[in-house]
Amino acid sequence: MDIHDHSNISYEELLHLYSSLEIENKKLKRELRTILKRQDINKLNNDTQMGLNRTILNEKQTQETYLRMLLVSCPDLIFIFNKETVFLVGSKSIEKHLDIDDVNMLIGCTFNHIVEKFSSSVFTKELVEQVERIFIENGDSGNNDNIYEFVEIDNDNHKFKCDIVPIIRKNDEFAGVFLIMSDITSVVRKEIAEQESRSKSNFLARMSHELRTPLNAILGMAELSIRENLPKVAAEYVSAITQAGENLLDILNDILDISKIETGQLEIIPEEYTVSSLINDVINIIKPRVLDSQLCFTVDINCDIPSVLKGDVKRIRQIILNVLSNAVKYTDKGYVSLLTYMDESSENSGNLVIKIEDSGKGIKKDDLELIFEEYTRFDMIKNKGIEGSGLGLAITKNLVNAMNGEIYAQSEVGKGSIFTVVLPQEIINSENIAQVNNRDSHNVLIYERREICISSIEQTLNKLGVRYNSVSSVEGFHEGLTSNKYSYAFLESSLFYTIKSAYGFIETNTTVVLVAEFGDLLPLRSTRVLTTPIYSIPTANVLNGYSENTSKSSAKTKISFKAPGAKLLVVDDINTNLFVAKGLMQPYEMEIDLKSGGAEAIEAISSNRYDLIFMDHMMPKMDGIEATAIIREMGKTDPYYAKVPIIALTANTLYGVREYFIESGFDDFLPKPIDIGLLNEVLKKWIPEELQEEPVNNRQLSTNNKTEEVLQITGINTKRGLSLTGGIVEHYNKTLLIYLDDGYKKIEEIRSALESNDISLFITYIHALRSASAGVGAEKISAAADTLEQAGLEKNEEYIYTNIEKFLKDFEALLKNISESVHVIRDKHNKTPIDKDALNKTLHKLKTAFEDFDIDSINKLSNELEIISLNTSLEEEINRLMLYKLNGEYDKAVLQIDELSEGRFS
Amino acid sequence: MLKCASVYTCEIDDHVIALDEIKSQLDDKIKLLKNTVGVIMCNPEFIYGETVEYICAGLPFDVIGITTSSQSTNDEIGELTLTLFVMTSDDIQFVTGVTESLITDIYESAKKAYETASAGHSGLPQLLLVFPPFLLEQFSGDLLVEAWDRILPGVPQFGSLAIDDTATFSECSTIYNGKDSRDTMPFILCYGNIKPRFIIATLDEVSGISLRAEVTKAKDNIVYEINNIVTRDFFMESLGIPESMISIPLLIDSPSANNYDGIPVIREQSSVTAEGAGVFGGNIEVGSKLLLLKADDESILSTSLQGLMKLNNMEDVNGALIFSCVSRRIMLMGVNKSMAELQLVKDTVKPDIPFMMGGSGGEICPTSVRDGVAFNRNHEYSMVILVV
Repeated sequence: MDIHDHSNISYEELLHLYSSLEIENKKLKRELRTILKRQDINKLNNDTQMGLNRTILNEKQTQETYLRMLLVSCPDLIFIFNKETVFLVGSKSIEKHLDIDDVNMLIGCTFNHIVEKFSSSVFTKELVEQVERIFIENGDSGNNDNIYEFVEIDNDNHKFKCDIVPIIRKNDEFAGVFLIMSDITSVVRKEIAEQESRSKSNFLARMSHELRTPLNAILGMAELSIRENLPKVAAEYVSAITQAGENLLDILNDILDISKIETGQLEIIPEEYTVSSLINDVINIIKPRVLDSQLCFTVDINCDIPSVLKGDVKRIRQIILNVLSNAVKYTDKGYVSLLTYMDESSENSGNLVIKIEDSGKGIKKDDLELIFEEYTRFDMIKNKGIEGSGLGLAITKNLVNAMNGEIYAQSEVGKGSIFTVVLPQEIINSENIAQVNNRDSHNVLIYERREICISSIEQTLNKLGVRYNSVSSVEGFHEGLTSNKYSYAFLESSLFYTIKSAYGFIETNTTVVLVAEFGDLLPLRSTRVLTTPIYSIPTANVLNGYSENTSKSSAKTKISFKAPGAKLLVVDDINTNLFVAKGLMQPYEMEIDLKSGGAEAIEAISSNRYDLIFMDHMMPKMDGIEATAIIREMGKTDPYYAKVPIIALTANTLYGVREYFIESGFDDFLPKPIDIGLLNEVLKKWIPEELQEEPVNNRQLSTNNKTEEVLQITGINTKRGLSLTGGIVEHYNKTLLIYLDDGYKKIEEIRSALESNDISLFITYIHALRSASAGVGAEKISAAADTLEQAGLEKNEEYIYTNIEKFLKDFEALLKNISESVHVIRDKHNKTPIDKDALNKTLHKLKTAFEDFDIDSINKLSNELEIISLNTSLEEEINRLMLYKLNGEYDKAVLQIDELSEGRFS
Repeated sequence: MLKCASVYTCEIDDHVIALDEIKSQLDDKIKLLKNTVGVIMCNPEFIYGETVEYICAGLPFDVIGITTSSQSTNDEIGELTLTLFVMTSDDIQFVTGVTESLITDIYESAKKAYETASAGHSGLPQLLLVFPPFLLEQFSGDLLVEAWDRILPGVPQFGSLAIDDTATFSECSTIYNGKDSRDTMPFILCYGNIKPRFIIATLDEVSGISLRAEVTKAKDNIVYEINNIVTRDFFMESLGIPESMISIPLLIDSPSANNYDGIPVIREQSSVTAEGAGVFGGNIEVGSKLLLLKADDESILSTSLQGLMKLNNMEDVNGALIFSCVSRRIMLMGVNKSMAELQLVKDTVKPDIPFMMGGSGGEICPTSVRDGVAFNRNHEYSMVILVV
């Protein structure tokens, strides 16, 4: 039908046409709607996509920037290859190792091409094979972690740690390879260096032990030998051995110190210390060396140095001794002087300044810069024969630097040197190091001919603020002494006999103090002494009524207590060390068991309860560490084993050793060679306090369980007498009785000897009287007897006969005073019933003590003998024994004991 | 025993032809058993043309479903298509129902409808097929899932929110036996010998780019502020996207991370309120961090393929109902691959597995079923597959 022909169209046809058009229209409208909907979605989509793309692009750019930064700055060699082995990107560090200008030159190159063309030494054969294998295996490295890691060394000896990482996509598709090579050469070198350092430290620790162990034996044996009553020549030999041993120890310590410095193990450990102890120690150590050298040694210590400071006193002592030793070594003639003062910068701190001056050879200006370097010694020809490791000043400088101090030297060749050390210190107690009590009440008479001594004494007294007057003649001294204007008189010791010869015994209230050179024999055994060098601390002590060696704070006596109830175990695999240790501990009167190994020690402790154990560190089979661990393990069933103090004995004194032993179960450690002072400190610290007793000469013992007061007797220093006889009042009283009884006899014997002009016998009797008088504290009588004895020895009969009557008269007066106190003594004296076993044991020990000249044991055992009650027949024999003891006639005392021990008593 | 078939027609205008096409395909593919139900998906044009009404009236079983933007079946893919997925069985009962308007109270409406539909059946169904309307400004798919979880605790829910082919989703409807609605929810209760299995394919969370964004004010599926900035302004600043952004998948890293089950929680903003708040397809907690996910053609198609491969590898499969988020297609449209996923599904699914796939406005599917208890979730930007 032709729709344009409307003439013949029917209604039905028209309807159909309309319907078709309608449907067509619907479809078109629907299509249009669909298109419009799609347009709307597309527009929104486009906007969204643009925003997303921008965001993703920004993120991508950021990541690319980070990647670029990483690749530029990363020190590792990073290669990224695709699965066709083509290089995509890499780190800038590749340029240096492959010797190329730009890493981008490699883009597009295959792995093999890079290896061939830029091989250099980076790609070893093994590395190439591994990378190729991963490419061939499509990422299968044969490794569960899918990373192949190994270390290779290239031809330039660089060490690389290589990681070959296959790149696997999410869908398990192999996409390429990461090759990351880290240069670990410096790390390896550092590890080697650290290993060497550790080896060096281990070597040093071993050597320290190996060298110190025999040194401990040498020095310990020497110390024990000195305690024996050796002949003079033998004593000198032993002294030389000690000296040599100590020198060797010094050199060893120097070497260990320098090693500590090199390995950074040197540590400064500040602690509170008394300055006077430090200075006294230094001077006491250096004095013998100065004495040997014939140099004049002067000391000037400012009185206002604070008494207690805080610093590493051990190292400060080392510093001063190092410099002083050098001064003595390099000074042939003239002097060495030590000046110390405090430069206080605030109330709580200041600089301790030490100046050491000598008149020695001097140091060239050019060499002054180098003197603090290691192993440096100058003018080897001139200084040939001077011992030393060449490390002393280097160590000193390091120590001073470690304390934030400074050290410098001034010198002139041929004239001498001045070394100045400045050490910042914290002030703990600002009280002056030396001051004289009631100094205004003192006035000192000085008679000294030695200019250096006069100068030192006057300078010292000036600093102490004490008045003085110097005389230059015997007459002037006598006049001063008898004027009673002076509290003290300082007299050159060699002038003593001159005075005595001129005036005899002089009555005076002035206390005479002899000024003696160190090592001099003294004319009077019981008078006060000031030994050179003269300086403020001992001078103040003497003027305050103490002995010159008293320090202001509590003095560290070597043996400060006894512990007869304590039981100790000492473990060491070397018998000599066991003997040395036991010998050094003998004065403490402890019961000591010795074992030579860790296993034996454990067996011993399993069946014995010890109060303290000394355990050597290094022993074969079972060492101290292992033995201690086993003992502590036993503590799980018995708390005693967990708590018993165990002290490590070790020759290893490197840094950190204390902490090492504490961690290993020890409670403390004692270095070898054993220092007596340190031993005392350790024993004092770890022996239970209830087992510690005062030393015999301080102990008060009363059979009535009461502390008795000592009698006051005119002419007798009873306190001194008590201390000299063991410290027990009862025993002293008994001694006085014996002295009294014997005194009268002595008067008769002396007179008889003089009447028969038997000077030799006279000397014998007067000597015995001198000794007995000194022993009970009759100081004046003892001094007078001493003078008469000297006169006898000098065959000065005129003096004897002129003075003997006065002497005997004075002696009789003294005996009278004692006699008036006797009834008090006799009334108080009580005896307990005899215990034969105790008596026999005590006599046996006493005999050994007499034979060993062990004064302390003699006194102690004598006291015990007194406590044991005797019947009348034995009392007389015991009295006789005590008299022999008092007179120093030990051979007779031994015979007396033999008689007593034969059982002639009921 | 269960038998399935999927049939289609593109005839919008001629209802008779459309019904004939449906019926003849059904006759060819399937013999209806005692109990039968049909799931219908179609372009809204089929509703406007009253074709849906006519077809539903001409079939001897209940037909329920939703409008969609596109479909794929064993035989056809298209945008202007009506597809029907028919399930028939002797030992499975298919009970259909429809709620009243959900706008007032989702739970009460659903409960009332369930009670009406399930009267005469004891016990819980083995499966719930649900087809909610697209009313995100009133409620999100999460609230619907929660409501059904309360009514049918532990029962697997599978379904899709209605969608359409507009930019504003303003023409989508639910369909219940030929009757379309903007706010009611039809559903199918499956009782008996049915053993449903589920597959979820979604975007890879590893691809997330942090937006340095934290939700600072939100209620349910409405996000008012991000980083204390009004949501619209935030997205404009951070992404440079104008107000009405669509199809941007955001990975939600929420503080509570409930019911994670290894499936990332992805949300997309479907619209913006007048005040600038973002309306999302699911609830977002305050404190949640937002990451932008990669959603290009490669990621969409590869994840779809993974899901489809899982389907192919399953045994005893009678049929599969597949819903794919409309945003996946919109993203593909941006790269001129609008039909790519549809084609992929048609080409990949094994010929002996009857299936129907349609675009979804929100996918409802359990993340897992453990000890007979289903952990249901409302998904976005995902492809979910019901395997029966």
